[in-house]
Amino acid sequence: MASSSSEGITQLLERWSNGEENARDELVRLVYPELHRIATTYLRRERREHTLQPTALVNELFLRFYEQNSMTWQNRAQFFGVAAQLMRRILVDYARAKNAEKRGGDRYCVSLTNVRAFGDEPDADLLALHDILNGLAEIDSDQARIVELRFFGGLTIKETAEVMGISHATVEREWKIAKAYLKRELTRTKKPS
Amino acid sequence: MITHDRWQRIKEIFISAQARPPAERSDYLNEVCQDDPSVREEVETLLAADADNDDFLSSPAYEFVEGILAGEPSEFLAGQKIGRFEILCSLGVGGMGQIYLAHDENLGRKIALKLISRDFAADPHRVHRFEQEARAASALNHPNVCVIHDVGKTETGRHFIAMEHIQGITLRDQLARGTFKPLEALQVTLQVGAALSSAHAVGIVHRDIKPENIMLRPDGYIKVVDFGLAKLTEVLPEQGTANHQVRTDPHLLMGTVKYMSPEQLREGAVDERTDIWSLGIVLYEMLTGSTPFEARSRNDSIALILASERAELVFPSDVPPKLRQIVKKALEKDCDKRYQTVLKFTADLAGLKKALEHDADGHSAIIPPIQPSPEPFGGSRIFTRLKSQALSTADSIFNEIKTHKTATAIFAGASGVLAVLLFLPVTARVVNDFFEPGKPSLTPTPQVEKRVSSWDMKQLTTTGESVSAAISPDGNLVAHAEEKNGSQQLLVTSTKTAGSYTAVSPADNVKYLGITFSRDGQYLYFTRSENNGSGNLYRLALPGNTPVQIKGGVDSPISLSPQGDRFAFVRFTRGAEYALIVSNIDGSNEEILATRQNGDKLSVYGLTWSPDGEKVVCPESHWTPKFETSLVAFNVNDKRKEVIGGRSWFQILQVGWQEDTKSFIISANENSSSPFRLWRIRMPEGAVDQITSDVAEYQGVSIFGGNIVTIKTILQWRLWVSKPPALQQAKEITSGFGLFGLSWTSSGRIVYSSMTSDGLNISRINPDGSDLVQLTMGAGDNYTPAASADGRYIVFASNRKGSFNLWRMNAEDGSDPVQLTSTDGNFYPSCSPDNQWVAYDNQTGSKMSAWKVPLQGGEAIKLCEGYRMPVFSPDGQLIACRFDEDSDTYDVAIFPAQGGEPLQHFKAPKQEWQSVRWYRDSRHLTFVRNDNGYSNIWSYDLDTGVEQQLTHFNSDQIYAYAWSRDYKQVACQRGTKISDVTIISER
Repeated sequence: MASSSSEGITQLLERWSNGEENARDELVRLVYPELHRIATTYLRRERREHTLQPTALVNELFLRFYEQNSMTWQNRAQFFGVAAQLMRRILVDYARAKNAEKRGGDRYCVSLTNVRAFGDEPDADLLALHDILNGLAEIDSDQARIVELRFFGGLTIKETAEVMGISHATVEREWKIAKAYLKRELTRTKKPS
Repeated sequence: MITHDRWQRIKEIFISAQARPPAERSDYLNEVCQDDPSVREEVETLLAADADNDDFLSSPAYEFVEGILAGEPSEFLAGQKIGRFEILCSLGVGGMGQIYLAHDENLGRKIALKLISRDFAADPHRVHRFEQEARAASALNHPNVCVIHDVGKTETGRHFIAMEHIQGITLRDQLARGTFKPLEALQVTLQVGAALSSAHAVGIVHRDIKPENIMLRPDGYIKVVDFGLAKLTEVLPEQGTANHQVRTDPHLLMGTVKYMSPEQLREGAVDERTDIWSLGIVLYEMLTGSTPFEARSRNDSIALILASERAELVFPSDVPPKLRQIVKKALEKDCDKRYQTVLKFTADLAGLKKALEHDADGHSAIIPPIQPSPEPFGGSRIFTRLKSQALSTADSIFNEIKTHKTATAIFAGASGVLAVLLFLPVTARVVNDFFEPGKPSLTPTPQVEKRVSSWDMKQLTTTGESVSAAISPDGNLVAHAEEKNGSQQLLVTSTKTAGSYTAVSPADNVKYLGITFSRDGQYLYFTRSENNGSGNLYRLALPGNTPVQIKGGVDSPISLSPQGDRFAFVRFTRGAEYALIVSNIDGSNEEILATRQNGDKLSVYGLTWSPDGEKVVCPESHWTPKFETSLVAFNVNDKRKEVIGGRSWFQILQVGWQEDTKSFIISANENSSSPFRLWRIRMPEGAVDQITSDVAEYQGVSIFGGNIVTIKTILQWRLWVSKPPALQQAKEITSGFGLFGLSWTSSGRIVYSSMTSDGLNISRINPDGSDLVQLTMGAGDNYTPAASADGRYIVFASNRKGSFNLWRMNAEDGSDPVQLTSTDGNFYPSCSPDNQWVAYDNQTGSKMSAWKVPLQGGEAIKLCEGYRMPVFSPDGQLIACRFDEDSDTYDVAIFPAQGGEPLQHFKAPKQEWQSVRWYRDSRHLTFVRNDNGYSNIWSYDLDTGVEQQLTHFNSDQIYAYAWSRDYKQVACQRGTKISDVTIISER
């Protein structure tokens, strides 16, 4: 654990929850390297398990900070918010690197019916999804955030509601629409070759 | 581009439309979107996407990142060399780096190589921690712990761990196939517990017990892996807080949360009670299919574990209350209320297991006729066993003799197999009274003093697949070969700790014939046959390196001269000639001491060089006038021969010299149907003591002081009868040992031969298990019963008058026995459908032949030579016989019943217990085929050559089977052979 990260995580979370956006950036700067490292290790390690625990990584990360930074369980929700965003970044970076390696940087979209069976090109699909999500954020940032928490952060509906400070029912409704939208857009980006 | 407002409108309409029944949506959309058809299109396409949303995005992004990782090529490719390791293939990715199957040049074997990623190694703290972990783990030496062979750095600076390569599946994989029966769950838990208590004894806590870290080998053996996360428990002599930071960061939280104890989550610092907790969770998961703190998210799980309430444990109805209590106690959240040691935990489990097995026995004895069998084919789903091959040479006759005898050598007690498998070193006590010597044959009767000896027996291995064993001159090590997934490997085991390592890794088509330590204990000599060829002698520098081939054409174990400069062995050539040879230690300068041919044999299973260096002692067999074997000493200088001791045996497999008692120890049987037992011949008087007297077989004699290392084999069987119409629904009707031969009478009864207190006897039983009547008693050994077509008689082989001949008795009560043949060596009768003839196997002399004799008595007629085990076809026109080829198949030939040349041939798999039966009509035969270590019955269509699997057992071997007269039911004698290295010493 990098000792530099031990200072101020709790304070940063509090500042961020009080609306200080730069606190989030600071959090990202602090947390990202550690998350990146354990993400890589964790994903490799956990491959021996057949079912991957969705929030396993973020939880582990949280627990580490929790242990060392006397965070409270109330900080947890905020922390997950940060972590989900970080996870998105890590995973997209990963997919981008893989995709670039294989395709010389060309975007290449493939057929897909669901994410679970992302097909032969999960990296390409993930990148496409990332772009579409950026588009969605421009017209409906809350909805994009829900997707980020649910899909990239692996949070449940309940946890998402907790993090966003909105109702369970809202999350459920918005998530449903977002999925329909993302799916439609993903299908549209598909170019028959 | 959709604007925010427009998007809000689309969302609203979508939600309203979506809430309506699909049929009404179109009208609704027409109504609300009439001003803007493009909004309507947006909503419609979203609805369409929503409709087949199924599990889109239902799993988090991790999962397909996993997919991306899966597509990532391995860092190293097959054939690539990293330092002394040659990469064979990738085994997957573990914590800290990729794992490869590799060949280790230094160790001369295949290993699992964990190469630590450079990423990981960049942090000196982590490297330090890694080294500490690996060192801790490599200190462990237990059969249930994955062995760490080496930890280090390659020349190129890569950190690595070389580990035992375990073939098998993880408990996670097995759990994916379903839950465990209580007894099976106990078996797994007890072995994991054994691994843990050995680790706890030296201060190592695993910290990460979970199904992914528990490997199940096909032989039922459990290995706990990844003691990599174990850290040395804090040894705090005084307050010693300084030590606390030295080991590893106590706050690093690892392991999967679901298996983590409350104190592990809370404090990070753990002791062995955390392992008890995790093992408790694993046990619960095996029984129920889920963990007790299952929640929708990981943090919910954590909250549940950390909460003060007890776990809510819900068990399936077949989990006994006692087991529920044990699990509850292991899962006490307050670690002070939990089991305090793994030993206490496993003691409770072991006690329960015993009780359950006892119940199961009593249960099956009382209820079987009415109780529908819940598991049609019984046996364990998990512990499929692989049959260890018979001692291997091209010597087919010996193998056949061995077949006779192994079939009758057996183990009493239904739960024996698993008990032996799962309880580590078992100490049994055998007390033998004075043994009455047999008839003298080659020398005058020796003076035999009455003597009572008692022997301690200690089982060293637990895999049940041991083939051959030897003890080192200092008594500290035992080397043994064992079968593993159909391949044989050589292991070295400490006699003190029972910890072992693989000295020569498993190889296909390899059979170990013998193992001998060098006189100084520095080397191991072993002979093995590769691809069914003749044997090769190798030398291995201990503790293990690349074996060096010394010599070909060595078909027996070797025995070293007292100076260790020469060795003796037996060579068997295709012309059926046996040669006793001595040669220099490097294989040069061969000198033949004796040769035997024409059916006379020298044992290829083990000889001994006398301590004075003068003689080589080897068992020698003759056919004059009947088959027998005696111990013969051949003088190394003048090649003169001298028979040792005052008696002969049917067969002597091995001989060893026990200097402490000036005795020979032999593994021998008294007749073809009795098991191989250990005997001691005291010199010079030649008095004989019987060392073992139970129903197990003891093969192999390696001696250190007063200790004899041998392979003990037990064989358990159960008789299964299928319920029509499906052959798949079989029920166990009786069990026991020594069953050899099975027949179904026309009156619908099953007759079989089994071991009773006074030898092999024939009994009859109804297919539902009722009305068991013993038909022979007090009249020698009686086996291979065959019912006559009219149901009046049972024809069988019996040695009641000294030699094995065919007899006939009344099927109802065993009365009125009539002797049918008188040449000796007559077995396997088959009665013709017209009640006129009995075909049989004649092993008189050194050549096999098939004969027939009238059922009412009279002159026997030879049917064919070279073939054996004749069986009449249902129409009586044909006889199927089997020819023992040297290859891996039997030639089954169809002869006209009247005699003459074979009409047709087909190949049946060559294996122990093979028997061919006619099926349905005179155009189909059935045979036994072994796949994946267990056997099933297959049919063969004589017209089309089509083979079809008829039974679908998924465990055990079939030793014998018989069809009902209408071919709608089959009776099978099934069981498993368990062979383990055992040390016997005199008290």
